[in-house]
Order: sequence, then C-alpha cells, then structure tokens
Amino acid sequence: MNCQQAEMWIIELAREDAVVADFHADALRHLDACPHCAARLATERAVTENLRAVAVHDAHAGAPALVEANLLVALRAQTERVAHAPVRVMSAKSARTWASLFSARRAMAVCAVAALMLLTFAMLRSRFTAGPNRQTQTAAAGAPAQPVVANTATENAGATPTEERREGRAQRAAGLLSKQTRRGHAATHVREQVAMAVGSVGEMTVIARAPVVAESVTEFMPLVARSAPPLTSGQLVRVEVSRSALASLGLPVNMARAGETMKADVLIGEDGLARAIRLVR
Amino acid sequence: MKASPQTNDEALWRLARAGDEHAFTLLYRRRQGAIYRFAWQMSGSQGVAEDVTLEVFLALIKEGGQYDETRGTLTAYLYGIARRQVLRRLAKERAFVALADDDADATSAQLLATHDPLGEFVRRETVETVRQAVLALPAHYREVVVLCELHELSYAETAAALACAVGTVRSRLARGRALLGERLAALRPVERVEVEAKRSCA
Repeated sequence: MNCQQAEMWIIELAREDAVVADFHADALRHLDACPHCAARLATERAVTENLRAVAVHDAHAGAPALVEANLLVALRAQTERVAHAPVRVMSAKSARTWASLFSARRAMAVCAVAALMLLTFAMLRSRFTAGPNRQTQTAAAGAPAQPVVANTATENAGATPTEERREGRAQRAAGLLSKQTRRGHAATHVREQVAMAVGSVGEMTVIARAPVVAESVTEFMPLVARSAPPLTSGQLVRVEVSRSALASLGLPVNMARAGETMKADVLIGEDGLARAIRLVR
Repeated sequence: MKASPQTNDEALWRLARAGDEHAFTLLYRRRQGAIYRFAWQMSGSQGVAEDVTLEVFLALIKEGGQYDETRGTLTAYLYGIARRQVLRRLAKERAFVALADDDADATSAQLLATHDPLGEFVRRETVETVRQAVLALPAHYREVVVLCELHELSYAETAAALACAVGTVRSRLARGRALLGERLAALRPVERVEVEAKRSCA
C-alpha cells in the first residue's frame, strides 16, 4: 500500500470505523513505515477526539418538556380535524367527465389563465397601494425621527423578546386550530392551554459566533493557599498585567521584558478573591 | 397493534397518525433529542434548536402523509425537515450581527459544585472551541460533520438525510474534517505551552 491508498483509509481508521481486515492490516503496515501518513493519522485522531468530546458533552441535550405539550395539543387538533373532514364520493360517470375535462392540455391552459389573472390582480393592487405609501413616506420625512411602533405593541407593552418568541411558538402550535375555530369548535379552550403552556419556555439564547482565536494559554496557577475555602463558583476575567507584577506573584516570566504587559485570565471566586491565574499568549 | 418502546419508528408514526397520543409521545421522546442537538450544533443557538424541534414535529403532524416509508427511514425524513428549517433560519439571521453570550453567568454556572472546577472549566472551554470551529465550517460541510461525527450516523444514513450520494458524503466529510483540523490546530499549541509552563514551574 502506498501513501495515496493509505489516505483513503486514514479517516476510517481515525474514526475507528469497521475497515475491511485486509486493508486494515495493510494500512497499519504502511503507517508504521511512513512518518508522513502516521502524522496524518495522528491529526485525524485528534479531530475525532475533539468531536467526540462535543458529542459526549451534548449527549443529553434535548428540547424542553413544553415543546412536547404543544405538540400533543397540535396532534389532538389535527386528529379532530381529520375526523370531521367531509368525505365526498364521486360516481364513476362524473369521475369520467372530470377526467375528460381535465386532460393535460386543458389543465395547462387553465393554469396559464389563472396565472395571468393573478399577475393582473397583483399589478392593479400594487398600483392602488403605492400612492398612499408614498404620501406616508413623504410626510414622515418632514417629521422628527420617531421609533416605529406596531399597533400590537400596546398590548404587549413590557414584553421581552423571550416572551415574544414564546408567543410566536404558541401561535405556530395553535395555527393548526384556526380552521376549527372558524367552524365553531372548542378550539379556543385548547389555544388557551397552548398559550399557558408556552408561557414558561426557557430563556432565549443569543447566537454567539466568536471567531476561533488562535491564542494559547498556560494551565491555571493557584493564587491562594490550600487552606482557603473551596471554590464553588466563580468568574473568569481577562486582564492585562505588567510582567513585574506577575514575577512578584512568583510566576515564570522573562524579567528582561519586565516593563511590558501581558494578557492573563484571572479566576475570581464568589468571595471576590483571585483564586487562580493563567497566562495568555 | 399497541405502541410500546420496542415498536419501530414507522409503526409508531402510523399509530400516531390515527390519533394515538401514546405512540406519538414515544416517537417524539425517542427522536427529539437528536433533532434538537442537530439544530443546536448547526446553528449554535439553543433558542433556534427549540424552535426547529417544534417545527419539525409540527410538520410531521401536518404533512406526515408525505412521508414514504419505501424511500427511507423516518429519522432521515425528520433530519431532512430539520436541515431545511435550520438552513432557512441561518439564511434569515445572516443579516443580523451576533452578540456575545452572557459569558459571566455561563462561567458561574459551569463552575458550580464540581469536584475539579479548573479541570471542568478547561474541558468545557475545549468543547466550546470545537463547537465554534464546527459552526465556522460552511453549511454543506458542517451538516455532514455534525451527522457523521456528532450523531454517529453511517454514510448511507447521512446520505439519505441530506438527499445526496454516499460519495458526496465521504468527500464532504474529508474536506470538512480537514478544515476543522486546521481550525483546531490553534488548540494544539496549548498542550505545548502547558508542558513548558510545568517545566518552568518545576
């Protein structure tokens, strides 16, 4: 086996996939002899190891229980709707009539006419609605700048983004019920149940996509005596410290550059004491 | 037929469509975690993951009739819906500027009541770095990496979920892993620095 052939199996080996035994033995023999491919395998194994750490960490993550409650309400509504749907039975004769009417060519013609009508309607609508909008914009240009507030904002005064999101989820779950409400079924009660259930969904998470910064850090070095009370919670604070100050703490720094500063992460306990420090390069 | 934990997904879904809530609950509890994690790992947001999980199962309730057992497993079908939902949301949110998470609270929570707070902190930091590196991958590589590596799906299962060929999955996985390796190379100097720090301390 040469390097090119081994390359095909390196990912499978790194992922510990079931590789055909012959190829596996061949690949391992090649890896013993080729330092380049051995290094490639080590890199791939490191990637696998890191990814498995994430998989293990996330293994028990799941949606909150309220999502399940909303879905069960939606399932009930859907089942009820299907049960109440009218069933139409078509006679063989009328079926033949419809089939002849809707031959492929006629269907295409009907679709074309419908599209033309929709297009005309859309153009007319945009022409009629464009005028008042322009007037509003012109008037607004002369007026002092004010935040635009939707009518519903007064109802939701004080609502946080999290609450708005919850309401959105409730509306989506309850969306299945809208047709029933029109037919006068008891969907209002069910929708209230959904709204009540969704009222306590967990906090919204802000997406944080910080770039992966290529910085290296040392291990944490303790700053307090072993007799200090154990750390139960804390915060990590990024600081910039002079090298001389770090040296006075007994940390290993280059004294030739004592006047310069360097970045460090300080772990501060709930009691306000600096518990540990690590240097950042 | 009665729904039980041993019943397969497809049979549970047939029962659920007929209004069997117990069957639906079993199916949901069996599959929600994977869908939630997929959405989270693809978007980096637990809020989005919750929304996507809800949308996926709502779609199953509303449009589940479109699922064809002969074309693939129900899991692949669910992943397919989740993928479309996530990609749609990512496209929408591209216009927004990302805000930093409230790291201070997260840090406090992470350090609560652990036997080795520093070790635990470093582990979580590594996981977060890898998560960010995965999130930084282009979406078509990210979805393959997430499904094959984080969800441990086979190439064939991933191909079914993404509606593409197995060869495409293999090549995207190789490219995605290579990109990830480059990004994670930033982690490796840490080990070297740690060793150097230990030596200098000694």
